[in-house]
Order: sequence, then structure tokens, then C-alpha cells
Amino acid sequence: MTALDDHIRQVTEFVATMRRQGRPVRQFVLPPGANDLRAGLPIQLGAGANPGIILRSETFVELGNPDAGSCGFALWTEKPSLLEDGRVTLIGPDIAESPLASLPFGQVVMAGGAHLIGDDQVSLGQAQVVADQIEGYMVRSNSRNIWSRVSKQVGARGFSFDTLARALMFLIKSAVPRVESVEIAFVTSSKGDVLTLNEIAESAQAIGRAALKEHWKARGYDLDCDLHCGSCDDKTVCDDLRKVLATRLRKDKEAVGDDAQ
Amino acid sequence: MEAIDYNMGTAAHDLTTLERKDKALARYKKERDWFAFLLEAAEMMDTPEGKLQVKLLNILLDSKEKVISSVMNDTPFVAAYFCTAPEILNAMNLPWFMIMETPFLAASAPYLLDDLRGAEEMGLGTDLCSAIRLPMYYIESGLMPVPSAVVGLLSPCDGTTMLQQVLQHNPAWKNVPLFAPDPPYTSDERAIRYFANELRTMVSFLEEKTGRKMDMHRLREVCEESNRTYKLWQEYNELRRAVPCPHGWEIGGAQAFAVSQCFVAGDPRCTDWFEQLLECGEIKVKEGRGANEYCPEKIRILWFDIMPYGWVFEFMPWLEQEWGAILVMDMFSNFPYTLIDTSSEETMFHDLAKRNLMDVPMIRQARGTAENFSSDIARMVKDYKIDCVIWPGHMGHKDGAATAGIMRETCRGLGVPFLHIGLDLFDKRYTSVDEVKDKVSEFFRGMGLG
Amino acid sequence: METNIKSKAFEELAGAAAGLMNPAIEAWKAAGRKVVGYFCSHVPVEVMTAAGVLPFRMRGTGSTGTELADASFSSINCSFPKHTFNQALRGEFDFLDGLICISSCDHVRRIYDNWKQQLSTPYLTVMSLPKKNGQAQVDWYYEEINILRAGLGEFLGVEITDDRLRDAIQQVNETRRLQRQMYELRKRDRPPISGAEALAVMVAGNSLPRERYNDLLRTLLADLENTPGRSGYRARLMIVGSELDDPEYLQVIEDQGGLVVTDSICFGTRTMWVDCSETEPDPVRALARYYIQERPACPRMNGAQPARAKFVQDMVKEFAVDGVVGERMLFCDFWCAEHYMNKADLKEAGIPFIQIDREYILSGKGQLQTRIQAFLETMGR
Repeated sequence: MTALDDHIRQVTEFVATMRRQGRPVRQFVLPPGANDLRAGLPIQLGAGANPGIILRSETFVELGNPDAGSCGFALWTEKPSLLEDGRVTLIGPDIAESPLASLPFGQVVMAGGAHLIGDDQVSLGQAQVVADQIEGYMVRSNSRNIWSRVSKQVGARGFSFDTLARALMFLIKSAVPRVESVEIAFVTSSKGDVLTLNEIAESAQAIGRAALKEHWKARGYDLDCDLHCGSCDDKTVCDDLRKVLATRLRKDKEAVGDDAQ
Repeated sequence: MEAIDYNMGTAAHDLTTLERKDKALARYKKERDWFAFLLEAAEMMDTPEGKLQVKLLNILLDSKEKVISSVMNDTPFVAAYFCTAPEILNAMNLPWFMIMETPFLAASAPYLLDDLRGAEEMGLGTDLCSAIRLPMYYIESGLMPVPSAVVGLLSPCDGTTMLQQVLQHNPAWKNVPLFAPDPPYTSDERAIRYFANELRTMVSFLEEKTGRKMDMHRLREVCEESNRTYKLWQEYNELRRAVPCPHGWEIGGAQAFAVSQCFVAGDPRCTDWFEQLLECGEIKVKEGRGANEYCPEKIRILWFDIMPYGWVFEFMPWLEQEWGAILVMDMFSNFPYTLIDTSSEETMFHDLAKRNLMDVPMIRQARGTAENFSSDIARMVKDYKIDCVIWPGHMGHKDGAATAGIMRETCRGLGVPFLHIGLDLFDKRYTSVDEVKDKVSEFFRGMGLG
Repeated sequence: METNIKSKAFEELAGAAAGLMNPAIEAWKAAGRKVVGYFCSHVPVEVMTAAGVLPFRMRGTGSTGTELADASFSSINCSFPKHTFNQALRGEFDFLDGLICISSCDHVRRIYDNWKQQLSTPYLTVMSLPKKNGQAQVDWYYEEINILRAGLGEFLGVEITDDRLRDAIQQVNETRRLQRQMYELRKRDRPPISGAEALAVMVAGNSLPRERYNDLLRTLLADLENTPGRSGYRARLMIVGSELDDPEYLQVIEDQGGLVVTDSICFGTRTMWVDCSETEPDPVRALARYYIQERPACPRMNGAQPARAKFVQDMVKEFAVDGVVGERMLFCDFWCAEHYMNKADLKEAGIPFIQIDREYILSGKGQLQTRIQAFLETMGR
């Protein structure tokens, strides 16, 4: 079992719990192909699609203000079958239903690929911070979670979580071609629900941080660890991850060997 | 409260108490007068930015007048720093001044070079940071008001630790009670708890030595106001991501740092200043107007330190006019802060500790291990669409100098050019302004910028 | 080095001080044992001793340049970390199995960041050293020492028990006692050992297995009883400063007629003038108190300047010192301000004082000679 499969199961269980507790849970499935995802979108996508910033006065909806509750993280698996490619789960109101609101916001991106490699984990984490790639959608600087704004301009064109999900899936599949399936869950029901999701996030982010460290360490640069491993709370996580990464590196080498032949 | 002993050694024995106070206040008043002069000039500017300068200077002058009044009336006031939880001082109604105020705020004053020469004549090594030498000079020369108590600073650098010790060594200051919160080298929860405890000890110290009491309700009010200020600052910093950037070096960057932390923290006037800053910034962004209406933005700079206050007027306008180089972001304008959770006394001290240990500029980067030098550059380059990073290489930043290689590698990884200059932010005799301009020009040309 | 001391023990000690590697370390490594380097005398060597490793105090001895380290440091950095790191980049420290850094000063603490980025020493850590010496700081350092103990123990696969720590404290105290005995001899009108020679002995103590070193010291002390005392010097001097590990520097001073009889330096009395408690039941508590409060402080400890000044003046009296030489490496903020205060304090006490700035590697011998000669002249010696 790879490192984050259990977290994916926890998210599935979370959705089921939300349903049992009477939250409005909506699910829909988007097309799998990157081009199909993009077709008919009311916004531009790609580098420079959102060149400007979105001012307070231009905000249609704010998502994930820390006062309202915020949580954003990515999970990955080598078993794409754990996920239904293109499925979007929305717990709580949609963007289009909440003009001028400041909504609590949880975003979980789950990506699966049988041939994912070490660097893909880092790319998946980075893909959440979309910079200027989604027209009318701005993730705020220095935010530790996903704190973002949707502009009135695109709100008027019907920007919704369907739009955001298509955009994210397109960007992820474009940036990480080895991803075979992507699911996204959005939570806007309440701060409490978002904070519950945070518990899964903290555990997953610990593994993500360890992956990032290994990624940079392989390049001779250690990011944020200023304690020796013996005294580090994340050590067991790091140890698990090292085993996974070792397996992955072996697979990568074998793949390169196969290609060379 | 104990009476302040203004005995400044044998030379001052024949002065009356009033004369000793006047001497101690002389340079401080000179600085006050310098800012009063700048206020007059700012009042003549009929622009939103001009009005912002007026508000800022009024807050600054008010804090200075409070210190002067405290000296003259023998009421409590303290010497402290922006990174020793100034919200606490406000909550305890304690006027305060920053011992290193002059280089941080008034380095463009015309008397500064004379003061630097005075510091040299004292015999301190000229490789000691000028921001440290200047206050040492003022203390040793009896040119700094002697407070009721000192909140000392032991980070981010060796120089600050020694400044506190020279201060305690001085005859006029040796009986002034001093408490310096100890900064741990790590940046984890354990470190925050430790520093929170240091801040609590600081409060007890201030209560004992000044007679002013801490009221937790008042601290909550101040922290909530501080949060309002910081939220606006955070919002404003989003504006500087716009292309073109609505403001350059003159407004909104380092001034934001000063207003939030250097005069009085958690004050409605500060919140009001940020509201106005945000309004005028938003207007410019909506209109697509850049920082300098005569010089279109061509290069977006991250200046990764304090601005060169000793010669800022000779350099920064030149950058804009000659190269269209706009200072979009700098170390002190950066916003990595989290807000203070005011739900309990414990959360307030925890979050004040975190802010003053891990978020405030320079302490954030230079106190502990070098991660923040790299991660801050990476984040700011991405968020603010930075074209080049300049590490000024101030002569006092020894630990930063030993991190230059790491910063360079980070920028290489990001694909942005990096320049390390080597200068004195406060003393233009160290590296002349012309020399700095030549180096920067060569860098821009070589990197194909502008 | 040239010496009057006819002692095999001294030869071995001087040899250990003259380079980084020495036969004792070679034998130690050949026996499968480990060596852990450390910066700064605030790192508790007792923990390393208890762990069964050889603690090696880092030096840049033998370095001839900083061309490799210059990419990581800059022209305003102290030459000690630059030379030391340069030696590391050249592979001269490949014999280390681990390295313990500490937040001692702005220059040396950045060795940790650069070392982590560029070298792959199996065990690398950095300790957080407080900047003042109250009870809260003793408690913090207590935790830091326990963290070190756990981490080092895990790396080595040994349990560093309290008993092992107590034994180590006793061993290191024995070293301190023997070193103090050597210094006692320097109180004589005609000391049998010069300042340069004494420094060599002190430096050697940080690069030899402890038992071997203690044995050598005992032998040396016996040999010194048969060594003619030095006479003909012009003045008795005390050297005050930081990271001075080159006996040749003191040799230059002593060749001008100034006999260095005592010191307050990082390789000298500050490391051994006081013992760590052997009666405190908790050995880690004993170590924390020792390193934060009890041993002679260095300038990075805020609030301890009066105690440091007193230490110097007490030494002046005890050793009948005629003048104090304050040495400082360029760009060292700690000692810049410390000597500024020393100058004022010693002037008030009527003790001649001179400050001399230097680079880590001895250079400008002529200048040093001239300044010392002038200093001795002004003392009327």
C-alpha cells in the first residue's frame, strides 16, 4: 500500500459522514481528456490567463479566508482504480450560488497514476497554487492554505466549482502527464467541516513535506529541516516515505532501462 | 518607580538634572525636528500618497513627543524594539522608543554622517554594523534619553547582543533595569512556547520596573486592533502583485512595516493609515497606473533587505528614472504574518511569540537556520513576478553574507538573476552611491533587464 | 615548534596541535571507532565522551586559502569559518563521522547551513545556545542537551545513560584539573612553559582520545618539574579573545619579550577554569548549569559582562600580569564590543591594554611584532 491510499479512504469516509449528517453533497463526473475538460469553459486557462489581481471590490466570492476556515491539500496513489477519474464532490454551496459571500473552503485534489514518480508528488503539491493560470481566479500570496478569490467578471459568466474543477484537472493532467485519474473534493459547508478535513490534511502534508525535503535533498539542498532526524517528529513519516521513494527510484531506473533497450 | 539617575560620568557631574535631561534629549529632539520638517514638506503634497505621509509622520511625531514628555515629567517610558511585541507596550500604556531608531527611520537626516564619524572616533571597529555603532555612540555620548527600563534585543545578530551589553556597561545606563527575551535558534512549537514564556517574564518585568500593569482585556483590544491593521496590510500587499505595481519604494512597502510595528502597535490610527493606503492603491490598480507616472515599469525588483536609508534619496529615484526599476517588494514589506488568536491569554502570548520570533523581518530570516532566506525569496519571486533579486550585502549582515551562496542557488533554481552588491545601508562612504549605481547598471545590462 | 621542554609527552601534544589528523586519531579510526567534530566550547563534550566517540574541536589548521569557501561566505565573514569550511570542502575533514554545530556566532552558525548543503557527513546537527544565563536558559539548554544525547545515541546505536554521562563528567573534569595544574606552573616568576607551548597543549586536548590526553598531561606535568623556568622576559601578559588555536601567534608575541602567562580564550581557561558538578544527581542538569551559568562566559552571553571583566582582572592578579593583549578576528562583532568595554575597564583598573585585530591564519607578523614591541615600551618594559 502506498503512503496516501489510506488518506484517500479517509476522504471517502469523510464524504460519507457528511452525507449521513445531512450536508448537501453533490457529485458529478467530468470528462477524462484534457481537451474535453477545457471545451466550453467560460474562462481562459494557462500561463498568463489571469494577469491581474482581483481587488476586494471586484470579488464575486472569497474562498478560504482564515476567519472562515481554509484547508487545501493533495493526495496521490499508484492505484488509479481507487479514484473515479473526473469525479467532483461538492459539500456545501456552490460559487455561483453564493455571490459576495466569504465561504469556508476545503479543497482536496486526489491524483492517481500507476507510473507516478517522485517528482510528480512535488508537482502535484505545486499545482494547487495555480498562480495566474485560471482567468478570474486568484490564490492569495503567502497563504498557508488555499485562500482565493473569484472575480465578478467571471462570476457573471457562471464560474462555479464545475469550472474550477475542470480548470484544476486540466492543469494537473497537463503538468503531470503520468496522472491517469483525478478526483477533487470541495467543502464549503462550514468552518467546522473544513477543520475536520484539516485533520486528514495535517497527516498528509507531513508526508508531502517529507517528499519535498527528499526532492530538494537529492539536489543537495535541505529545505526546512533544522533538527536532526533523531529529534524530529516527522521521522517515522520520513522513514516510510524513504521506503516508498526507494521503490519508486528503482522503478524509474527500470523504466529508463526498458526505454534504452 | 525608582528615580532615574542621569549621572553620565565625571564630565556631567556639574550639570543640573535638567541640563542632563536636556543633553540626553538634544539629539532626540533634533530627530523630532527633522521629522517635523518632513511633515511640513508632506503637507504641501496634494496627493493621496502625500496625505499618507502626513498621517505616518503625525503618528511618529506623537510617539516622539510622548517620550520627550515622559523624560521631562519623570513618567515611565521604555526603550524597546519592533520585534519585542510592541502590542504589549501599547496595552500597558508605555511610551517607547527604538534604541536603533535613527538608522532604521532617520538615516537620511543631514547630521547622520557626523554621528557616524563620532562613532568611529569612539574606537569601535568599523566592521561593526553602523546600525549598532550609532546607538552605541549616542549612549556613550549621553545623547540618548535614559528610560525607566530597557527591553533588550538578542537577535538576529551578534551586534545586537553586544549593543545591550555596551548599554549596560555605560555608567548612566548600568542601573537601568534591562530584560532581553532570549531567542531560541529553532523555529518549532517548542521554541514558540519558550519565547512566549520569555514574553510573560517581560510583562512581569515591566510591571515591576515601571509600575504600569498589564490588563488582559486591554491586550485583547490592542491585539484585535493589530489584527485589523495586519489584515489591511495583507490585502494591500496583494495590490503590489499587480503589473504595473501601483507603488514603489516611496510608499506602502517599508512604511507599512514602520506604521504597524515601530511607533505604536495595535492603534486605530495605524488601521486608518492602512485603510487609506489600500484605497489609494486600489484606485491605481483599477486605473492600471504604476508607481512612477513618468517612468514606466520595466524591471520588478525584490530588494532583500532594509532600504538604503542613509542614501535612499540618491539611489531609489535613480533606479526608477534611469531603469524603470520598481522596488516591488523588500524584506521589510513582506507579509508572512499570521493573525493573533485573541481567544485567550495563552493564545495571545503564543501568537505574539510566534510573530516576534518567526514572522517579523530580519529576525525571520537571520535568527535561526537559513531556510527562510531561500523560501522567502522563492515565494516572493513567484507571487510578485519579480525580475531580479538584489541582496545589498550590508556590511553588518555577517550571517546573511554567509548565506549568499544559498540565496544565489535559490535564484538560479528559480531562473531569476541575483545580485550581491556589498555596501553600507546607512553610510555611503563605505561604498559610494555612484559605485552602487555602476554595479546595478552593469547587472541590469548583463542580464538583459530593462 | 621550538621548545626548551624535553618531553616526549610534549612532542606528541605539540604534534597533535600542529595538524588536524594525528596518529592517535588514525589508530582510533582503525579500531572502528568514531570521531565527531564540534564547533565552540559550549558544546558539551561530555555527551560525546559518554557516547564513546572522540570529540574533535574544529579548526582550520593547515589551511592556506579560502578559494572554495568563498562561494559560500563573503568578504565580510570571519576567516575562521571560511578557512575551516575550506578545509572541509578539500576533504580534510572526511575522517569525521559527525559534526555538531551550534548557534555560537553569526559566522560559525552558517557553517551548518552550508555544510548541510554541500557535504554529506553522516551525522549533522545544530544546537540552540541561549544568549543569556538565567534559569529559563538553563532549562532550555537542558532540553537541548537531551535532544543531542538522543540524536547522537540513535546515530551511534548506543544508549547514553546517566551513568555514562557521570563518568564522562569525571573524565573531562580530570582533564580540566590537569590543565589547571599546568597553568599553576605559569604563576611562577620563571614559568617552565611558555604561552605558545601551553596553547599547543590545550589545543591538543581537543583532538586526542581523552584517556591518552590525560596520561600525556600527567607525564608532561612531571617533565615540567625538571624544565628550567623562563627568565629574561620583559613583561607578563594575558591574552584575551576568541578562537585562537595557533601557538605560533603567541610565539610571535613571546619572541618580542612578552611572556604569555594566562588567558581568557576559547581554547584556554574558559574551557577549564571551573569544573562541572559531580554531585548534582542529574548529570544533564549539571551540564546545562555548567555551560550556561558556571563556566567563565564569553561575550555572546548577555548580562555576563561584569563577571567576564572580573574574571580578567582576577586573572591579572593571580598571574601577576603586567599587560593584557586583546585579540580579535576581523568582522567579529562580539569581541569588537567586548574589547571596547575591556579597554575602559582595564584603564580604570590601571592595567595596560592593547587590542590587536587579526586574521585566523597568521599573517602580518611584522605588524604584530611592532605593535607588541610598542606595547611593551609603553609599559616601560
